[in-house]
Amino acid sequence: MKKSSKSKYKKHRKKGKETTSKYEVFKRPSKTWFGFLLRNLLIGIVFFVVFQSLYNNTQSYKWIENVFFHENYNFIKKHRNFTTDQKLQAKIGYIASYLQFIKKHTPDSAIILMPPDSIIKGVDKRHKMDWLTSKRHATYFLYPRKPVYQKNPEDSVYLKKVTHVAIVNKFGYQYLPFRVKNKVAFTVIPVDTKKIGRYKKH
Amino acid sequence: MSYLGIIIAFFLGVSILALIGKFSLLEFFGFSFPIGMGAITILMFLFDIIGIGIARNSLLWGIGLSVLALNYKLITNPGDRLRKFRTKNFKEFFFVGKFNLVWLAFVGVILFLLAGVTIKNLYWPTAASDSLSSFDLYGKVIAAEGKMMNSLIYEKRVGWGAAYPPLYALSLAYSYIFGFEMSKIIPALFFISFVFSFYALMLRNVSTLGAIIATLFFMASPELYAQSAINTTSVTQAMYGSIGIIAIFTWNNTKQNKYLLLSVIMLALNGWIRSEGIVYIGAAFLFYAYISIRKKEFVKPFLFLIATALPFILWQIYLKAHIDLMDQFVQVEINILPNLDGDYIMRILRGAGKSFYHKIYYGITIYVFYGAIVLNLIWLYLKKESLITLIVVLLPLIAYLVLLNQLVLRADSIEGIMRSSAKRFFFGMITLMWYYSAQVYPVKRFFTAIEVYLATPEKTK
Repeated sequence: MKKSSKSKYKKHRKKGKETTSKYEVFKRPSKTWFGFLLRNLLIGIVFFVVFQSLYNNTQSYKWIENVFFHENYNFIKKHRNFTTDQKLQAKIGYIASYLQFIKKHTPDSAIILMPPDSIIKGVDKRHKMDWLTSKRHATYFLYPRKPVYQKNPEDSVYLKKVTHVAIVNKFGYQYLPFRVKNKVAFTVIPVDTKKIGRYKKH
Repeated sequence: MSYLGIIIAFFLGVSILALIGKFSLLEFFGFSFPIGMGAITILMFLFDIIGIGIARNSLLWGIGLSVLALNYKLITNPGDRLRKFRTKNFKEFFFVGKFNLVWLAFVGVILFLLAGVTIKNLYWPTAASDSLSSFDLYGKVIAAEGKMMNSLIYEKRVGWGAAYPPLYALSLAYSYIFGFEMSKIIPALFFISFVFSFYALMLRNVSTLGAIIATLFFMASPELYAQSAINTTSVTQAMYGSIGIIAIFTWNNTKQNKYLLLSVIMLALNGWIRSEGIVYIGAAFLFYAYISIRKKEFVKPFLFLIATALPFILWQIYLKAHIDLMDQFVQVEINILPNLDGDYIMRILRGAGKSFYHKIYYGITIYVFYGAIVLNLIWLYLKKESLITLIVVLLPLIAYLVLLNQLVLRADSIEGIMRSSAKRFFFGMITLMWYYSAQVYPVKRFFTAIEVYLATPEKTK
């Protein structure tokens, strides 16, 4: 057997044919389109099986599918026509809607007295109002209006110029120079009685 | 009008790229926006310094004149430029990879993931706390008031982000100036550019199949993918830093100077978005110095360092010049004396380890990286170049940990930072790990062999 293969080899050499290893076929592209398709299908299946098992055995890539894709796209599909304000409300909750309400009912030049942290932290946790304690977060929604806080020394210059009071959990009415009969939980009220008109309930 | 702003940012990037060398269409697509946007933010900053308002008209004039200046040769001698373009190798210009069906399937998955993150970006307004209180808020007010030293700074109405180098905040301001209601187009375009840039550079270093698989896994690192849909600096900085490093590797492998210049630009902009970008600048500098000194070129490394660190230095000077106002936003100080507190160092290392081995954050990245090192052990021993590449890939990570150790924190504890922020610090390193894993000799060879096996039939004469 050995002898015969050797003699075949010599025969090829004598004829001047190029010697190739039996694996040579794997080192070259296919000669036909059918072979190309077959090879691609074969390697494609191998890759698919490898990646599928990788996907099934790691939490991380599933997280992309479940959290990133499904949760988001179901929402986007349902609420395609939401305005930016509505999207913000959906994303960060009641605080967005409250601050948008304040923005809508105050002029650009408004200086708004915000409640102290203790009051904000006392609001029902489901409302997620914690960001209201931060002047920066409040400013994001209210700019160019100025939310001012008694706790911040740099705001002290504005405290005498307050034009509106943000009412949170019925707190803030005591800063108004007039008495309010119908005390609603969340709203914004101008300090100047002439500008009151009919304040709205949020 | 809003999209005009984006188009001219692209156009400025294309003009800069065309000046530094002949790039492929894919490279133009990947690098144009980050470079164009980066250049515009420098222009905005210069406007601010010399007292020109940052507004739509001033920007249109500034960008328009810059584009004219960059295309001066094309305008004065269009015939010559067109002749050169005609003789250019079109096949090379349009090359996006060697075609096979497996590659096409990967391209499909990548485009699907890109579409997913882009839709999410464009649908949701900014809702991340850091961005609401810092970058997006600052960008909004820069757009409204036309200056960086605006009411937010004077009245302390903005977060720590105001003291960050201003590339990101100014990019967001740019989107508002051109009339976008939300600024999320900016992170969307940065992430698309990141993926295309990475793939384009990988193509210069490894086979098409290796490049596309590395691209898929780097972009699908869950935490990086998720953070690309929120409006913060981390992913964008990872792009500038890691692409800068990969570009300098590409320059070393291909000996084409355009990649060195590309690296300089990307690294410079990386220091223009977050100050810790110096860790990438440092790693690239050491690599470049090593190559230059072997050629007995002693001045070039310093020119490289100056060019890459210039925007970072510029920003530090700006902060110092406005120290009375800006100091309140500076989150950290750097301790020059080495902090040798072993317990503190261990807390940093533990935090970093928790990020790297977290079940979700980076997927299989770290394990593939280890695997690549093991596979490459013989070449690490035999080939010095291979070892140097590994060292340079690891350097930013080591430098980052050293930097964290030297920080004097004003706002948070080191545990807090390692718990909540560290996962974002390592995005650039994750990208470099995928680059390294794909280019080690055995992996490169393996994917090249598969690629040949899968190639389209050769034309027979």
